[in-house]
Amino acid sequence: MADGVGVNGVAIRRSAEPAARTSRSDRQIAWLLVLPAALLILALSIYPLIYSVWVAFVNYDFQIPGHAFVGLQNFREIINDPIARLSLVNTVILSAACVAVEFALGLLLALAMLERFRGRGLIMPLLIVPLFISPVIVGQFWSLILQPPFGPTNYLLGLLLGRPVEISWLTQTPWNFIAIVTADVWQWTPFMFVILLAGLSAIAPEMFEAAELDGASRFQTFRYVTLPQLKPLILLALTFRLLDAVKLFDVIYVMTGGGPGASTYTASFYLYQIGFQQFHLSKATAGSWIFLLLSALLIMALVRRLLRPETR
Amino acid sequence: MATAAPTSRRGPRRALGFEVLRFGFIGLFVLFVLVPLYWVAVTSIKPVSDYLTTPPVWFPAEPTFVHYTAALFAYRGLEGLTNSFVIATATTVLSALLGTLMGYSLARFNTGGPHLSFWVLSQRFLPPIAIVLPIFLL
Repeated sequence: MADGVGVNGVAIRRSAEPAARTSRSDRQIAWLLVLPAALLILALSIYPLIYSVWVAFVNYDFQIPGHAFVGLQNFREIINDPIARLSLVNTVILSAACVAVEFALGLLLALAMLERFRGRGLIMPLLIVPLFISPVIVGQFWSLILQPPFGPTNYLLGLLLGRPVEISWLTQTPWNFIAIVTADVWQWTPFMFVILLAGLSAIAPEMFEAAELDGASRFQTFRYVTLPQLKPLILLALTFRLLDAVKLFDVIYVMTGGGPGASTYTASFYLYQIGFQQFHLSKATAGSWIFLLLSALLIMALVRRLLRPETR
Repeated sequence: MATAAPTSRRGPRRALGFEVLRFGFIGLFVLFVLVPLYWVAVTSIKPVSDYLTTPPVWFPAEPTFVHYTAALFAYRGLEGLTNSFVIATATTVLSALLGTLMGYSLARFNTGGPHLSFWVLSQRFLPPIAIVLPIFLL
């Protein structure tokens, strides 16, 4: 049916056939080839993770000598820290806002760009330029545009509204949140756009013809033909973006530095502050485990839906 | 797959208003993408006296390139670029090498079934901060 399904189903569908035919020496080579990469992953992420379990349960703090076992105290400290809770709330709000806006804009843009027109080939590469720019630099870009006195934003808004505008974009709530979302949207809407456009182009033209023959309106066509056909790729795009968005760090670091106070801390930024600025390493490690488990829940929920689109 | 635009055959029934909306949206979005790039580019060639003016200087009367030499040499930007280049090359070569070996094995022999490939992919989902902390300590 839909080509999009193949994107997700590929690894599983092929599985049964070639495995049955492999000889013993083949199987040895197969594992030999996997070994280097698997060892590297083990060394670089699994081993540190296991080590960090130990760190989370002892006292590893540059201000206090020794590594005494403290049980769950580190976890308790994190859970009772109001800034930790604020960071978590910020992470949820910011990632939800970013992904929602990016999805809406990306879908609209994909729909608008689907049909060929003159100049389309020229506009297409322009639209995906932000994807190639490092997030740190994107943060710098938007700081430069928004923050007075360097940015022209307030001046332009003033012209538009007919009265002087004095917003301090990076230090005034809610404007700092809007600034962060804008920077993220600028960078990642093209990602949504590219994936959704690929999905839209893969829908068979016959489906639209059939809808037209049946007298479906533009909205009905979108609702009952386009959306269901696009669903696997919508899910894919949302999953990838959401998994990235909850890790939001660079833009915060560059644009607001978490400030004013701790008002724009995200989970990643909070853990960085606790760990690498204040050197409460055990507390930060315990916090990163909580964050890891929370994101694992999200990942499991999303990926499980993604891996079996056929059964929907 | 992505051959001819699928909806092009709906052409004749297009309403003009819809087309205006469509191209208006595309135009606005292109502007949204380009404005930051323009502002950064134009700020980079402004003499210092043009930074803080109201109304803003949209294009400097006397463009200068001193900031580029300053960024590259005085602020050690060249060093940063070299480091980026070395690190990027090394990681790309290394991961392409290891990834090719593993990818071939996974695709050809389906080594480890779906679980191994999922485990490898799941590394991508880890928040970097969870890995950086213990690596820093080790």
